[in-house]
Amino acid sequence: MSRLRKLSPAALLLLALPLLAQNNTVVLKRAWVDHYKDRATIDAGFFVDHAHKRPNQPAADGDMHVAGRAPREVGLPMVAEVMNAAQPGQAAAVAEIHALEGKNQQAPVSGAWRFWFEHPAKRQVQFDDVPVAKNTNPDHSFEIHPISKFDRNGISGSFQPIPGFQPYDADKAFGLYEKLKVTVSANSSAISISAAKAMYNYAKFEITLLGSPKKLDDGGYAVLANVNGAADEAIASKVRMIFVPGTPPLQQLLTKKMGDGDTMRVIGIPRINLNAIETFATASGGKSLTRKLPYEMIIAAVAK
Amino acid sequence: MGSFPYLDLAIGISFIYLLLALMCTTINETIAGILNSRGKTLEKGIGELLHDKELQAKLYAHPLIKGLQQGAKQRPPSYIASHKFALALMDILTGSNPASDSKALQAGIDALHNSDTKTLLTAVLQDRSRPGGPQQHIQAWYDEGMNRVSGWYKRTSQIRIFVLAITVTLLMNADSLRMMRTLWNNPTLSAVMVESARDRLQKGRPDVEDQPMVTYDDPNDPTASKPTQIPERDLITADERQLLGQVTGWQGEWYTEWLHLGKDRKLTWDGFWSWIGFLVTNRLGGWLITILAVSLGAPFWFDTLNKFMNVRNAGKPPAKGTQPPPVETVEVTAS
Repeated sequence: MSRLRKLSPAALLLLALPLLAQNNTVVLKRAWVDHYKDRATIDAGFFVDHAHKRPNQPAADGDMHVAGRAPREVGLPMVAEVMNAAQPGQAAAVAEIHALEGKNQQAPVSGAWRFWFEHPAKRQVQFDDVPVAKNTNPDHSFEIHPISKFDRNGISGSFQPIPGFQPYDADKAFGLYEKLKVTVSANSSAISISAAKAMYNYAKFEITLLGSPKKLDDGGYAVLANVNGAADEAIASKVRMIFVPGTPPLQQLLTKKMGDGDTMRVIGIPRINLNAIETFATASGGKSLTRKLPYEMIIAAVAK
Repeated sequence: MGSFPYLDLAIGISFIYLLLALMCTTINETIAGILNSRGKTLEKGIGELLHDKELQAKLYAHPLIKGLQQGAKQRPPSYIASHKFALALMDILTGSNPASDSKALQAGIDALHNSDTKTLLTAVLQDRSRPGGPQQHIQAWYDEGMNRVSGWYKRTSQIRIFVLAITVTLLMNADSLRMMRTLWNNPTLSAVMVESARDRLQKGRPDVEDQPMVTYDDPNDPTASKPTQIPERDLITADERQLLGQVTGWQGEWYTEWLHLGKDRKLTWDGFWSWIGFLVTNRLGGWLITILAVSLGAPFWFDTLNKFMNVRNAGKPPAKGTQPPPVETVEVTAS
């Protein structure tokens, strides 16, 4: 027994160690999730804290990162990104972003909301105080990416393939997306989402639509689709594809009246599917459960 | 004991907790499935929301909701999406008029027998703090009500898991302190536990965690997600059951102690109470640790086991061709 007495505290200490290791967690307000779960975009009053002096090189993705805050609409550390930022069509928006940088002056910004653990912090709680960003890439899980409008400058035409940039191969990107896990718990007012760091922003892939596109509350569209791999087999099935209002991909979807069985080659950005998260959190009674991460793709361009 | 005695002990005990937690999960889901507790909780929640049994009966008979009933016995659905609830309710209230007809909707509410329901629904529709029309108002009201239902289900499920943890622990006499002592004193068994734990880890996390959260059954409605019904279980194998049997159980203890403590080695009440006293003083602490540990759930212990195993593997890569030692039966006796 004396050996056991010495042993028990050590064993219990060992058993307690895993409690110290956790995923990255964001706590979102349920009302916010409910509002945005079936919208392509978000409109926010945005303070520009830091912006890249110039857009990323085309080979690096051609985006321009803007770190800032939208305390009323988002309430999380965040980054907004202009796609194809070096192209002339985005020049006015880029200039205005620089004009507002560090001025603590709010400007309206619209674009695809994107919740993804690409640059996560250990824990962030929505609508807690959000500090002024110290650089262009603070720890964040929330983005407006791509931006479709900055102040009066509509840049939805920027949803085009990025010249000189090679998007990720579909098999590689979806191979990762399909393996991601998430732990969700909830109470009546908040949903806690924990996951490991994720990556692969722009992926190029072919989709086969499974039904008719459905118009969302903000004028965007969603459609369920299978993602086809190099071997012509579905590498992901029934994934929601999100089309942003006024963008070339949506124009193509609507003008060609695409529907069940039609295919499209696109470039997309993954984000967490809040529709699935909300449904699951409600049905699971709020208990902490781990499942495959539900994701959807923001269609950023029609691939050539 | 091997090169990592404390680590092997931690792996062994985590593995045992994982197996016990898997047993509890299996039993819990089986009970939940038989009782349809999700469906019943939802039914109760909708009853409290509407305050009108007649209206609730009509709602459950509406084709939009009836189509969600489960199985041959047409058990009540375990989940109703807010838009389906709102559309069904509006359709019932508006009668032969279109469900979107606001005047017909108000008339339908006015015609209800239950004054509480009348007042409630009128207030919901007139709530100016919510955006959107009547359907959005009803959906938001329903979602708020369902948050409460989620809370009930969560509490019920937690209580059931805890009761199951107690039951399994006592039935199997899973005393953590005794299990640790057994593993510590028997390096062979400890080594077998480590190997079995490794096999268990290679099977991957409990299958349930690879499952999608929802399904989209209607290809034309990518907003109508339905939670995936998942059998939350991952059955333990016969070998694992055999291992569990070597560190748990009442082998001999329940009657030999009773006999030993009774006068003249006969089954007497004095002997029985002495035996109970023995269990309380010698087993209670270990049982409590097991109950708390098992209540943490299988995914937790799977992750914990994985972390311990990673530490062990980092410390000493397994030699090629190493075979696990043969299983040694351990006699467990009361101390």
